[in-house]
Amino acid sequence: MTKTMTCIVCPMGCQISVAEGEARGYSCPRGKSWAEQEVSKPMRTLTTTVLLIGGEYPLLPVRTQLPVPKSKLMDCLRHANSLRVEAPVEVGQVICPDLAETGVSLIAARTAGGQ
Amino acid sequence: MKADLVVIGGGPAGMGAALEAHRLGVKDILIIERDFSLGGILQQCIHNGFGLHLFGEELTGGEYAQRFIDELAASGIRVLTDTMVMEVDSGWVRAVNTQGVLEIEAGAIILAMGCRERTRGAINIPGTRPAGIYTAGAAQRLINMEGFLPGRRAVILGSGDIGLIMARRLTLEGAKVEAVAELMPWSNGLARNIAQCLEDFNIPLLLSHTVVDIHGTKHLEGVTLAQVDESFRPLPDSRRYIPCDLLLLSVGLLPENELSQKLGIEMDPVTNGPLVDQNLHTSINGIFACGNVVHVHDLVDFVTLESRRAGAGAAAWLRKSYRGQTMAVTPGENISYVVPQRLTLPVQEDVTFLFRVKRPLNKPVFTISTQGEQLLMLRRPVALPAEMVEIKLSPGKIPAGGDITIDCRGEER
Repeated sequence: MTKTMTCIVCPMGCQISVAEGEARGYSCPRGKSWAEQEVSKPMRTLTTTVLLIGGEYPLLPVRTQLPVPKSKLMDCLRHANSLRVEAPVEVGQVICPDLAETGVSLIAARTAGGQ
Repeated sequence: MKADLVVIGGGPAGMGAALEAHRLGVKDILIIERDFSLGGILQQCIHNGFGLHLFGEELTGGEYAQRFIDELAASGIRVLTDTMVMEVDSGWVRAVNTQGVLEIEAGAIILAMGCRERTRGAINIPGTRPAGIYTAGAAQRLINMEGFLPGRRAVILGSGDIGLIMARRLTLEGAKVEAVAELMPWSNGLARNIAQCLEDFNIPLLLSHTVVDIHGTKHLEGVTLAQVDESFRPLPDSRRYIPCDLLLLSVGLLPENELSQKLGIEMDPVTNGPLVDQNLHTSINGIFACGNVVHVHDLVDFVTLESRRAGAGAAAWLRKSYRGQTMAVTPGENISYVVPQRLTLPVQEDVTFLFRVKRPLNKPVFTISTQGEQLLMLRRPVALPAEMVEIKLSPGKIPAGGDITIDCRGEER
C-alpha cells in the first residue's frame, strides 16, 4: 500500500510517498525519516498557552520539547490547560516534566517577567 | 533627543537591522516600538516553524524573537516601548508617549513598521455588520496573548498561512472550524500548513469559494458561502448557509505605509511598500526600510536577512553619505514584483533579488537579463505565487549601465 503525504519538516512541503516502508520524493534526510515515522507512528510538536500568574501577560506560550504522538495531542492539550505557572519564567524553562504521560516535557516559549 | 540611527518598529525587522548596524560599529542606536514589549507579531505566533534557515531548528515565534530580544539587551541599544512615531523626515523623527512629544535627531532612519491585515472593507463582503468578524491576526492576538476566545463555531475566509494556523489554533482551543474558504483555485498557504493545520483536524478547504453574505444583527449568526467561476463570480446554485458565531478574514497583508506616504517616499504600486535599492535605501536620503513594510515576506528568516542588509546599508551611510547612479530592476514575464527595484552603482557585494511569480508554474526557468543579454539563468522544480523566490547575483555579473529584467517561463500547472 502506498501512502502519500505532505512533508511538514520545513516550508518546502515535499510530496512524499511511502510504499513497503520505502520513502520516495523527499529532498533531505529529515524528510525521509519524518515520512517513515509518519506511516508508523505520526508525531507532532504541540504549541499552546498556559495561564501565567502574576506576569506581565495573562498567558505564557509553551511547546512540547519534542514531538508527541499525534493520537495523544488532545490529552496533552487537556493536561496543559490544567497547568498554572507563576511569573517570572525564562524561555526554555520546564513547565511540566512529563506531559500526559508521554515522557515529553512542556517548556516555556518566551521569557515573561513579573508585573 | 539624538541618535545616530533610529529604527522604527521593534519586530523582527527592526531588531535585526539594529543589531546588524550595531555589529558594524554604529553604537548610538534607538529602537521605537508602539507595543509594550519587543517582538512584534512574533509574540502572538506561538506555533513552531520559525528559524529553520537561520538557526537550523524549529522555533516558535516567541523563541525566535527572544533570541533577538536577549541580544539587544546585551548590546546597549536603547529601546523606547509604548511609543508611537507620528512623523518622519530626513534627519528627524517625531514620536509621542505618556511623557509627551519627543523630537529625535537622527543620522539615519530605518523604517521597520511591518504590515497590517486587509479587512472586510477591503474585499466588500455584503451583508449585515454584526460583531464576531475579525481579521485572523487580531483573533490570534486575542487567543494567544490575551486569553480570549472570540467564538465557538468558525468559518475562515482566506487560506493564507495565518488563516490555516488559526484554523488549527481554534480547533485546539475547543472551537469548531466549519470550513476554510479560498477565492482562488489554489491556496496561498504553505503546503505543510494545509497538511498539519487542516488535514490533521479534518477541516475542509473549499477552493474557488467565497463568503457572499453575512447574517446576524447584534452578533454573527451565519455566513453564506458560494463557489465562484473563473472570473470570481459567485455561482447562485452553489450558495449554502453555514451557521457560525465567528468569521475570520485572512485575505492578505499590506505594508504599513502611513509614515512612508506622509514622507513622500517613492512607492512600488505592486508591493505597496517603498522602492528600495540593494542596501534597502529608499528614495529619501538616509531613510532605509526593511521587512514587511517593504514587501510581505512568507518567512521571518527572510525578514531577518533583509533587515541585516538594511542595517549594513544604514551603517555605511553613516560612515559616508554617498549616493551613486542607479539602474532599474523590472519585473518581466510572469513576475509580479522584484525587490530591490533599483541598484545603486557601484555594486560591491552580491545582490539578493527577492520576487514572486504571478501564477503557479512547473519547471520554471528564471532569467536575469539586461538589454536582451542574459546575466543568469536558474531552474527550479516549481514556482508558486505564495513562495518568494530568492536569487543572488555577484557584482561581476552586473553591467555598468542599463536596466535589469527578471523573467520566469515554465509549464502551466
